[in-house]
Amino acid sequence: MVREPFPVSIDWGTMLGLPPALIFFTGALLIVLIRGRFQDGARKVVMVLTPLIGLWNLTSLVPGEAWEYMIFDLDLSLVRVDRLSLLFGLLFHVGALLGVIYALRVKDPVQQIAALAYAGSALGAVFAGDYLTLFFFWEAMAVSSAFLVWAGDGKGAASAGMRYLVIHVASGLMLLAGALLHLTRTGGLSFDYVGLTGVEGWLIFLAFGIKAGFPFLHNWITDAYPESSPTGTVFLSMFTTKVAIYALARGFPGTELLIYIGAAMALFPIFFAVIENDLRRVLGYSMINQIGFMVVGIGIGTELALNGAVAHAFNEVLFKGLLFMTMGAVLLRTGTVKGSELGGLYKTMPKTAILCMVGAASISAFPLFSGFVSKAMVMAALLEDGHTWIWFGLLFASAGVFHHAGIKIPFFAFFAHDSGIRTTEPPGNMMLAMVLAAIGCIFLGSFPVYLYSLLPWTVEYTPYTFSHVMLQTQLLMFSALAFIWLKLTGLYPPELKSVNIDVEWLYRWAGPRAFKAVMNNVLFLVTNFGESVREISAPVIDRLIKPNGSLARILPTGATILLTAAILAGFLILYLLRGAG
Amino acid sequence: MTTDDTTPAETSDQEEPPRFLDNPRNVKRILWGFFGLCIAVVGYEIFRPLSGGEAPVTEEGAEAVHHLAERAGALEFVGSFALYGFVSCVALVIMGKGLRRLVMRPEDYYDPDPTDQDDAATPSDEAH
Repeated sequence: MVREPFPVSIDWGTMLGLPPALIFFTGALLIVLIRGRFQDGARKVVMVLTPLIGLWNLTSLVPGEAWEYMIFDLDLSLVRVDRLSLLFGLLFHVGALLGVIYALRVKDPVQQIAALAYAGSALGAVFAGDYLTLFFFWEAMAVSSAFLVWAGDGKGAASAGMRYLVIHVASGLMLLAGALLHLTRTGGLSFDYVGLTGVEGWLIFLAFGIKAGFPFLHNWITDAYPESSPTGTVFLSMFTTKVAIYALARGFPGTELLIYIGAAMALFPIFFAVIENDLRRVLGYSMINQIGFMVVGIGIGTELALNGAVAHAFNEVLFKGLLFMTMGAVLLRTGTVKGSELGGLYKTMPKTAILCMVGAASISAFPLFSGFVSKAMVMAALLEDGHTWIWFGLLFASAGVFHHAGIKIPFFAFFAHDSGIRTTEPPGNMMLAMVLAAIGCIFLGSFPVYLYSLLPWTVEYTPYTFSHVMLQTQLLMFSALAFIWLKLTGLYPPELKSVNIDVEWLYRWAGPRAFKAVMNNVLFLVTNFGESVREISAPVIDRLIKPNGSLARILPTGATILLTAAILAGFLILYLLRGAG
Repeated sequence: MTTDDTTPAETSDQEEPPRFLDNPRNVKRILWGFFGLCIAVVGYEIFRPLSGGEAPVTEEGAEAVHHLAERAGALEFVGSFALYGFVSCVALVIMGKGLRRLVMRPEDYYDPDPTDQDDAATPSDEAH
């Protein structure tokens, strides 16, 4: 018998740099291997050096380059360098560096490994040139980030992490199924524009949609992020949803449905955010709201809109990262981020309070802060494209962002009534990470030309005109005025110890109860009518498994994998309904 | 000032010098300053319309289009953005309060404390 050659071949092309993911995975591996007296210090060095070496490596990647490989007869591409992937590559390196500095005091190697592997997987995903490579990093991201959720020390972290993992693995399965259908349909796996054509288009769309937090698929964000550790949430906020935005911008630009989905995402979370007590969960809702703006931009699909969407993703990593860092600092120092328990912290954490307000000003799109220069591009593109009603909706959402993220977060944590809590500023490394993020927010907002020069398409947009600045100031100041008026008249709802049910109610409350009821009935049937159940079902089973029965037929490989994916997905859903964890 | 993570208010308040914001008069001053600014940003528009027409027009005309696009037709009157911001936020909070009636549950809704249940077989909550 002739042995076939090993079915893997690699083509470096002209690439001079290394695959960005490889550097981070190497870093994670080094953390595993480092042992001995100086392990804590050595691991910290690895943590900081990894994103720095990564950044240096990134400068040697040139648009147009690729790192291709072959498995069996599938042409795959581990690295595809173009302006879109480079922008997200840079963003994730910056995010990882900030996160690493913020988490420098964490000595738990599990969290260190998870953080590096997670950042590496996110980088792998945005540089992946085909669906199979994307799927690999998609699932690696899910598993590594789940460990960051489990790093939370609250009693809810274990089960929230399990639900998080189940939902993300399900997203990966949909991606795999979609990719395989795409392969059978087109004969290739290249990750380019898909559009909503056929079952594969919808499967891939939903896979991306889960990670992006589409309405009804969004609850993992607000469920898991508040349960992670103070440092873990910072990493979590930076990568997963932004990879989804990248993937949507790559696969579904100009898909009109996204405009409506994005508008819904921008609108519904603000109502939940206003009444939510856990301030990190408020930030979770506000994250869905911001992603809504990006999704709208991708849906419009013009150069201005797509530039706006990815620019806003870039800015969001910095300002949402900063806000999560300040809340992490509060959690670390006081043991809680419940609005009902906090207040008056400006007295002992004044620097953190100021940094939080910088993040708040950036997310609210104040002139000179980063949100202003990117969100406005999406808004302008909406009007240019004739979506006036959506524009009105997003303007409402813009006012709402300022209300719940811009005012509520800093106000209830640092001002409001004095809770009596006296504490200290967070450690120096956390302060440094927050200051760097804040400088980034102000720099990109004040000198947008640097951000615009990085964007994938040519930018013909000037954010700083007198009208734009004045109108935005009017909108924001009168939103603040509304807050003051509502506070003074006592109409503003107080922060209350509570949880608000959301879509998760279906799989955390109703699902498990319904599942239990059904299972009890099935058990009852089997125990009481076992013999008759067997008699009725035996001929059916016989027919299925006899030669030429539908279960005995040989299926093509693609169909088998799809079937396996479907069965796995079925198990995941059952697991979720059983009340994961 | 103490370096403890948390200290009860009773003990710490007596040692602390009063802060700027502890004085209600200062809070009032800030609020009045803010109200003044609010009047200013709308008042300015009466004398200098902000329809976007004054934006510098470039050769391509592309930038001018984007400037004009900042404002949709219905919001062209003086103070329209201010009004929209104010009304939006009041509406948001009122609707939020309504939503609370629908979705608010006790804090332990999903994971009720096992000691609260009459399940005698459950050991103390230390076991979880």
